[in-house]
Parts: sequence; structure tokens; C-alpha cells
Amino acid sequence: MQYPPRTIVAMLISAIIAGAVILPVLGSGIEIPIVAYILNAGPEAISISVIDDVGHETSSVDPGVDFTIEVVSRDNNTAADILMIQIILFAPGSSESSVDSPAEHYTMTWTSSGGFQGSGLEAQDCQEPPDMDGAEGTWVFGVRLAREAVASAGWSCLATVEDEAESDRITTTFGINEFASASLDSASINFAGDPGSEAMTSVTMRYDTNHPVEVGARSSEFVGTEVTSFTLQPGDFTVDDDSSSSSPETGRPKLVLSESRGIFIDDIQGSGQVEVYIFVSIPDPFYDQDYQGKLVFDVRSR
Amino acid sequence: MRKMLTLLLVTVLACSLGNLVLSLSGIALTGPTQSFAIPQGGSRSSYIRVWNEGSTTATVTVSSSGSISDLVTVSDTSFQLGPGQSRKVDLDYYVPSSYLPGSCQGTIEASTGGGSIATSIQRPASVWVTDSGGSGTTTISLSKGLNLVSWIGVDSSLGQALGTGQGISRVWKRSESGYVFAAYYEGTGWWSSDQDFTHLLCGEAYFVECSSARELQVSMSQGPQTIELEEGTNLVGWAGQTVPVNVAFPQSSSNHPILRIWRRNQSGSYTSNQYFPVEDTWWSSDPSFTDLENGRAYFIECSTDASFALPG
Repeated sequence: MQYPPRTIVAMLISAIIAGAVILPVLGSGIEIPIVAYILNAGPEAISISVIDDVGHETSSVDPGVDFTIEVVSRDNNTAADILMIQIILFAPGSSESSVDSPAEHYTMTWTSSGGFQGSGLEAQDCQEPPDMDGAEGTWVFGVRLAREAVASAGWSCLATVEDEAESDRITTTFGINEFASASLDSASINFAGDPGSEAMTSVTMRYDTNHPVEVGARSSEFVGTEVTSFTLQPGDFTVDDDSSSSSPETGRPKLVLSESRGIFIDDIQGSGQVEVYIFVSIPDPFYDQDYQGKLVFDVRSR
Repeated sequence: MRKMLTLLLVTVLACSLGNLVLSLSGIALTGPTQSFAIPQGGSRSSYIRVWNEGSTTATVTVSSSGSISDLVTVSDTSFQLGPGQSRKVDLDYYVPSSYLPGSCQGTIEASTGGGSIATSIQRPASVWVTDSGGSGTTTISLSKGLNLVSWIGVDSSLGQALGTGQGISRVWKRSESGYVFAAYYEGTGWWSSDQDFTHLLCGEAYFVECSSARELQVSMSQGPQTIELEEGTNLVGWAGQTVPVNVAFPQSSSNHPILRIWRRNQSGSYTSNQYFPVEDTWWSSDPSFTDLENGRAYFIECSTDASFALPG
């Protein structure tokens, strides 16, 4: 039969009192066995810190970059009595109980029997307390969040510490920094057309962002490599996210380029690719040669 | 006559393999929001992190544009990265003492692409230059009576902070056992029964009892970047920028350690701003209580221990 801890304590105290009363009566020749039960002390989650890749405490982290979360916990039955520490990271649009997803939710767990595991965990950066016989210990969770982890200042970090009977929790907030990636499948472009006509070509732009961005473009002057008096001015170039000859105009109209940045796609987010159509007004007359200059496609936070 | 126009000296290398599109040039960028309030004569360090997303080694160029260029120094403006490699580039903002207060806007841009087409990622950057009175100082205004303030100057001894206490009767701080005060005594100087109460610390809350209104000129300090809260009622100084309550303490329906924030009005009454988790919103019956203000202190009721990073 198992007794709850308080009952055991009551029985123990009763035994001690009975012994104290009976002993003087019986004399000192009788031994009374006393069994000591150590009561469970609940674990405490003392602090939680987000540490960047160079070891500084930080309020925001970069997606796709290693960082650590340090949980300091205490258990007066020694740190070895702590059976589990769980960390849940979630974005403002998510909740503690949501399903894990690279964009919004991560669950990581340390258990005394199984060590560290969970989504976003970088096992090589995880560390248990070196001394589990002390009352207090620091558990280090190595973490790397996906690039698509939503950019926001309001991510929650919730740590729960459990022993066999009780638990404690602590929470903090941190930010996920904006991330944007853009790449092109071409390093140069070729046009073919008659002088005085408009020629078109396209390049594929892949993007990967965790926040809304706009896509812009600008151009320098392109100068002939053989006969430098022949040039193409930025205004000779037009870009668009659709080919007006093959599909109806979508989003913004064509952007006539200049040396200053203009926007031709208003709002994209997540991962994907767009076909960028480039139109050039071929001069008349013009000289058949290579032209050198720079077309810049950029991605910028909205 | 049909002619070919080639906009580069490099051959087109676009190639495809099934659905895989090989990226010849590409760049990725992350890092903290580049938006700061910096006093004249002040500085701030930040960074961006860039990756080469292309399939070959690329030269990455980092630059700033706009009026922000006057204030920011980029540690590495041009460097090479192999495919998939990244580099952290330091951005050091410094506002000369002579720089006029106001807003500086611009962009930090990282670009790559050796040919006629380049890709770049732009990150908006802004600095709000604040007036420091020409010497990196700010003013704490105290009214006659009791004031609940946050010390926003550098950590200072009571004597350094308050001089000989003209107009200030007592300074109270909260301790584990209640409140303790310090007062100025002729011949003794500032003295408190709590031997640890010798300094005013940036970001700490104090009740300042004044016999007359006065202003304190203090050397500005950034203070702690994190606010630690415990379950129950906390007395917290706000040394961060003035920001809306929901920005200072971002909470959600599923994670809302802060129940209510109390602000002391000069009349001695208190008004509160409460978080309503179902609606996921903060609300106060006092329409003027929308922000946490730099230099004020607040009582904050928490349902559990929590820590919040100061925004910005």
C-alpha cells in the first residue's frame, strides 16, 4: 500500500512522538527503528536566456543561424531529480499547443533518459549541466530556426521543468529577424531584334523571405565595348512580372527603369520564383556589339 | 537587318535540370531591424549577415545610401564568399555631437553579381537623432509632491545624482521587505537605513518626494536591455524608448504573463492598462495611457515569471 507524502510525514511524526513518550517509560534498552523519507521538492525554472552565435544575450535572432537557449533550473533534491525540460518557441500567430512547423512553432525536449531532441535542435550545441549532484544546473539547447521562421518581435519562449511529481515554467519573448534571399538564373542577358523595335527576354528570380517584401530594379547606362558612342540608357529598359504579349497585365504595370530604384512587384512572401520580363528598345541606328552596364534587381522589406 | 545585342561579355549560362534552376548569382541577408534612436554624441552597434546564394564564388558589396550614410560605418564593404558561405558585417552608427536632431533615413544594401545583372537585398535603416542638450544629457522633470520615476541617467551615487538634495525630501525604493528611503542630512550627506541604498541605477524605479518642482540634468544611459518580471506585482522603471504598451510587452492569447500595468498619475491616483487575452488586446479606461514612457515607472502584475527584451 502506498501512502501520499503527507501521510508518511504524519506517520513519521507520530512514531517519533510515540517514541519520545514511551522511551522514558521503558528505559533505554529498547531500540525504535526510524525510517526517514525525503520529501519531493518541486523543481524551479529560475531563468531563461537567448544567447546569440557569439555568446551574447540577445533580444532577437537570425533565422538559419545557430543560437542557444539557456535554462537555469533548481531542484533541492539535486538536478538529477529533474526528469524533463521542454522548450516551446512559437510565433505570435501560433500558440503553445500548436503543431510544430518551420514557420511558427518549435518544440524541444531534454529528458534524463533520452537526452535532447526536437525540431530546430542542433544536437552538437546542446549541453546538460556538468554536475547533476548540485541543486542548480544550466541546460543549454542549441537551436537553429528555419529561414522561413516568421519575422516578428513577439515570439514566445516557454520553458517547462518537471520532476516526477511537480513542474514549473518560465517564459520570455524574443524576436526573429527579417530574412530575404534573391537569386537569378542568369548572369547576362541576350536580346535579338531589329533596330527601332522592342526586344524581350526573361530571367528567373527565386526568392525566399520570412516577411513581406517588394521587388525593385534599377539600371546604369550600358556602353558599347567596341564603339563607346553607342549606348543604352536606363530608360531604354522596361521590366515587368508578366509578358504583356502572352498574358494580361497583372500587379503593377511595366516599370521603365532609371538609375533610381523603382518597384515592379509589390508584395511577395515565402518561397517561390517569378519570371522577370525585360524589354529593351533597340536603338536605330545601333551597332552590333556587346554592351556593358549593370541591371540590379533587389528585394526590400515593405 | 536582325542583330544580336549582348549585354555582357559573359556567355549566358542559364541551365536547367528538370525543375531545378541553377542560380548563378544570388544573395541572402538577415540581421536586426536597423531603426534606432541615438542621442547626439551617442553610438550604437549592429550588424547584417549575408550569404552567397549563388553557385560560384562571388564578390559581395555592402553599402549604405541616403542620409543614413553620414552616420553609419560598414566594417566590410567588399569581400568574396564561396557558394553557401556567410559573413557577419558590423554596422557602427555614430552621431556626432554637432549633428542636428531629426530623422535620418536610408538603406543598407548587400549585392552580388559580376555580370550585367546583379541581385541585391536592401534593408531600410533609420536613425532618430535625439537632442542631448549638446552634452549627452537629458532632463528628468519632477513635480512637487511624490513622483514615481525611472532613473534614466547613468548609474550614480545619490550625491552625484541629486547633489545636496535641494527640493528633494526623500527618495524611496522598493526592497524585499517594503520600502526604504534615503534623505540628505547636513554634515552627513545622503544616508539611508538600508546600507545598500547608495546609488540610483538606470532602469530602476524610485519614488522621489519633492518639496518643490525641479529638473535634474542627467547623463543619458541605455540601461538594462531586458526586464525581468516575477509572478505577482513588480515595480519596474522604464528606461527604454517611449513605445506603445503592446510593443513594449508583446503578448498573445496563449502567452500573456502580464495581466495589468498600473501608472501613477501626478494626483496620486492610479490608472491601469489591462491585457485581454481573448481579444488579444490592451485596453485602458484612461485614453492617455497607451504608451510606456521613457523615465516613468510602473507597477506590473504578472501571473508568472517572465522576461521581456526592450524594443528597438
